[in-house]
Amino acid sequence: MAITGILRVGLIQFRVLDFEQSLVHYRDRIGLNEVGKIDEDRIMLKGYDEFDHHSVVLRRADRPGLDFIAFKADSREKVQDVLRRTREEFGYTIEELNDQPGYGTIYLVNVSTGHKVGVYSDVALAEKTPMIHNPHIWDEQPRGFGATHFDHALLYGPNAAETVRWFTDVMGLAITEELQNAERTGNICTWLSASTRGHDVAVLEFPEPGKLHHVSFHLQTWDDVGRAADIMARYGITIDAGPMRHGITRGQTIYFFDPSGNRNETFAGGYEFFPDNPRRYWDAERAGEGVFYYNKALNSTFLSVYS
Amino acid sequence: MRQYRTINSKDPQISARNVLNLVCEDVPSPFTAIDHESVLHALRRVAPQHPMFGCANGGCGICRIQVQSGEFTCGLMSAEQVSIVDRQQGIVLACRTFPTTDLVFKYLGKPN
Repeated sequence: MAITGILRVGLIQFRVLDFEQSLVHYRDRIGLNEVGKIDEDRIMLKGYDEFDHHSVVLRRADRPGLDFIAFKADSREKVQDVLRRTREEFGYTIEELNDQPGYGTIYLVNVSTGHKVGVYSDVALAEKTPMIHNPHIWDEQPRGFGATHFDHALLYGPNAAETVRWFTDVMGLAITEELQNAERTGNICTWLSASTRGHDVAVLEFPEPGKLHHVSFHLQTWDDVGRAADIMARYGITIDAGPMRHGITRGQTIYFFDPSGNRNETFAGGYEFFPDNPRRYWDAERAGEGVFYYNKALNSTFLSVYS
Repeated sequence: MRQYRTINSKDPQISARNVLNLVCEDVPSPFTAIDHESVLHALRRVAPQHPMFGCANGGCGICRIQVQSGEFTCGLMSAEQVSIVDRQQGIVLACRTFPTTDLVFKYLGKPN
């Protein structure tokens, strides 16, 4: 196997205020497939091009925000190695989660930024996977934006440097890019990859713990991003920024909001990353260009609006 | 000569629109909410740069306001941004506040 250890970010559970509007948003507009209900307050979804049982869980609650994000390991040995080193080297508390259909135990680590970051190895294939025998590009024509898969998330929280060190040293992720602070004593934001993606997760230093900046879904081309923008305009989805390109990761993107105020992103393009690539780095005063490559300035909501 | 059908202000569909007047102390002049528009969406038409425009979906709390007079209905909003006590004091999120009469309100922003 070319990629070993942690393979990718594979599952995210976050909160929504209601199901009716959220399903229209995630299923009919973004184009995720509904997998089923876990209980009265949780719905499972997945991108049409994902093999595993489900990748997104919406939990109905009185406030939006992140419950957890979880990474798939290639073996139980890797999971045990992560848990042992987490206890020995970081002392973070670990919770066991056993109620996700199709999944074995997911171990949730309480990292320094106040997020729950999970690791698991056992997960069943979805009932409807992408085709594998003389495969068509898709079995059923994708809906809405035609998002292929859950791509990554940007987390906001304190002590980000320590969580980044946990991601690199214990999980084995690689830093693809960093936005350095003005004093060059650390990073404002760090982008991390488990594979050849530009990032599986990014972590931004922020005073409030456990916050979610955005959940991102992958589209295949810049044309798909434009089509997504048309659908957003038609159906009154609040666009935060874009369509545009990130300097960092080079992704072609739109930031927009779900009906509960969680920020979403469509992400297309971007470069392929290999672990032997030198790390790309950005100066603090070039942050605007790093995030919004065309406008070259952050918008007012980038740091003030999150869930 | 060909007759073109146009819509004018006497068209019952237009004149039936429900127009309410809104007043906010840091917006220079009164503005209107048309039909079932939220306070935030009404404000966006006259003051698109106003700092209260965030997620516009009841989550982020940037558009927190206090209604000083007038009647309204509310949609779903995050309990992290608006508590039960807030609601009793007329504190709500503009994006999920739908006026049913003329309204006077004050901009608060996110709770500390």
